[in-house]
Amino acid sequence: MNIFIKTSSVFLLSLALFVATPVFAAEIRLDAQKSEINSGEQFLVDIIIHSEESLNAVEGRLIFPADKLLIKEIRDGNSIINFWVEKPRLEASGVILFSGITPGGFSGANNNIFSVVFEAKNTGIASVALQNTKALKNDGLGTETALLTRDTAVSIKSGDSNVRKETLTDAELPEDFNLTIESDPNIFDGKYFLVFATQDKISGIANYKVREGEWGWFRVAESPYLLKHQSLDRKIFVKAIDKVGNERITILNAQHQVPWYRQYAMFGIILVVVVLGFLLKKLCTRFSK
Amino acid sequence: MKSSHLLFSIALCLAVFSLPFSVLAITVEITATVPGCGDGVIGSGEQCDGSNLGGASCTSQGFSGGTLSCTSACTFNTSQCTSAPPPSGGGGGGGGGGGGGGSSPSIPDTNVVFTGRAYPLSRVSILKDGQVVVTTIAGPDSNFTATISGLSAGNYTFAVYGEDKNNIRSSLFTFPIYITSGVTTKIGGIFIAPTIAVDKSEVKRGDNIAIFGQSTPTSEITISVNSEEEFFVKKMSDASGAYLLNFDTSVLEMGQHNTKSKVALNGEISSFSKVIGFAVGTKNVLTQLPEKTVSKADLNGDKRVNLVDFSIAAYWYKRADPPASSDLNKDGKVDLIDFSIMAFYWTG
Repeated sequence: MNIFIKTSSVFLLSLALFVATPVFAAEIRLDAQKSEINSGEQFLVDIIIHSEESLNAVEGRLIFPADKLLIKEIRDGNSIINFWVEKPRLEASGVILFSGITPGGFSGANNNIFSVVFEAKNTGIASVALQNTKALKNDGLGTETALLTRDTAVSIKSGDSNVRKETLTDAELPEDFNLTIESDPNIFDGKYFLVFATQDKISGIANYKVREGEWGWFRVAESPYLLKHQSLDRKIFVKAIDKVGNERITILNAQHQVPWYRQYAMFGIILVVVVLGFLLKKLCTRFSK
Repeated sequence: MKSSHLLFSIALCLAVFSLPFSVLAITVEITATVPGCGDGVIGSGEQCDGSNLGGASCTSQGFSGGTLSCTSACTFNTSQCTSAPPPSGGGGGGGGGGGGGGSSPSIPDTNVVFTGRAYPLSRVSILKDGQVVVTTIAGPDSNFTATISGLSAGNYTFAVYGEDKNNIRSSLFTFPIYITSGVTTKIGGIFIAPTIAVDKSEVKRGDNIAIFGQSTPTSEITISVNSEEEFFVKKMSDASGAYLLNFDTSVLEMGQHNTKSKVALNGEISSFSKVIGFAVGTKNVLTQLPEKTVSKADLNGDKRVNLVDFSIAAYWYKRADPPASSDLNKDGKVDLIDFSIMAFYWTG
């Protein structure tokens, strides 16, 4: 009888556990390089997603104790995410926000979303956690998938002078990219805007800079970028800069011809020719005398 | 066919045996995969051949102008096309150097070669990280080859889709892959799912609904009609790859239904096509071909879903009162769900 009750209890408990355990089709986890570090030392935390089914959108927040950890770098160069809606960035003290999509979707194990290089500041336990994470299925409806999150923690000990730094070498330029000029009644009051995006597989893109015309300065810009010169008669230069400082410039030729009277260079040439002609004529008349 | 295998074997042997002596050997493979290259005729798997560009130009390749030419591997050379990135900053970083005698080997290109099956003479587009980088035309046998050059080492998401004779697009065939620097990575066995369309958005119960599309010639098409009970019907595609099923709807319940198809040939099976919906009701309502209808994620109405549409949606992200066209799930805001819907309908 006793054995029967024990067996039944074990069976019922197992059944209850089985029924109560939610089925997770996907998992986002934080992989810390080390579980124990010294203060002053740098270490990498990877944000990894695993999924049985095809997903195409992910978002969330990475929370860390700002009194114990300092962000040195956010690396998104090798991400499974193709287009960031919210590029991983420090939203507030101790909070990194991220949100992005992958057209066509992705699945499988160990897909890197992005990585963070932290520097340990003070001793103690530093818990790094995910919050408000969401992963959406590639089903045309944006259905949310059941998502399991696994956080991480590192123990920070008092450091010695021999601290390790996370360094990255990137000698490659950001990848080639195209520039597209568009106008749409739903944004920028129907004015022309510029669209661009590229990748850098090693360090990631730091920012873009735009210059309209041959002269002037590049200004930091984001896509979509409202063009200042709506006549589209200037060349447009866009510079993609990676996090190490490598730059790639893409040029889009003027869409419309500059009117002749606005071609200052032409004016200059005409003026020089006229002046030279005048001088030559004067010289000739002087010599003929 | 045999000669191409022989050529391939010779090239492979040369590549393997010369590996210790030169890092350039890996690129030899490309020419072996294009046996008809150099005869001036655009054969299967070739984008061009010599001066024969098959009517293509820089503009057809997505550039604003310039001169398109053909490489020795019979792929398009767009280096002289304008609006492309200028050669200024790049060039692979200072290898040139004057005078050094040339003993140091140059770094081999990092290439990816795609081969697979689409539909006869169909346009095949290849996306790298969501943006179209190469389009090619499949041969009459539906086979295609395309090459992407000048990549960095790293993780890439490639996607391939085909457009059939009615300009109906297939679903995206997506795969992430790690590319190694200086190596030609060959991705073979890509089997693009058939295209699919129906002639009616609503069909009177008991009448036939035409389910049709295009795939590889003379191959077995499995068409699924999803109802309470799922029906599977097999049809053979004709010599042009077209298939047609007149499905008797008397076996279906009243209400909404879906259909999709896949293809099998010589033991290779594609994934399922896009899912097309139709209703079984009390009347027949004819529908347009999908090509003539604008996808709901196509915000600017250019029949493509790409970075421009993403940018328009991104403008409205977290802003109040977005236009109805950007709010894809009609919940009054533009958020991740709208971007997910867009990513599903993406064409690049």
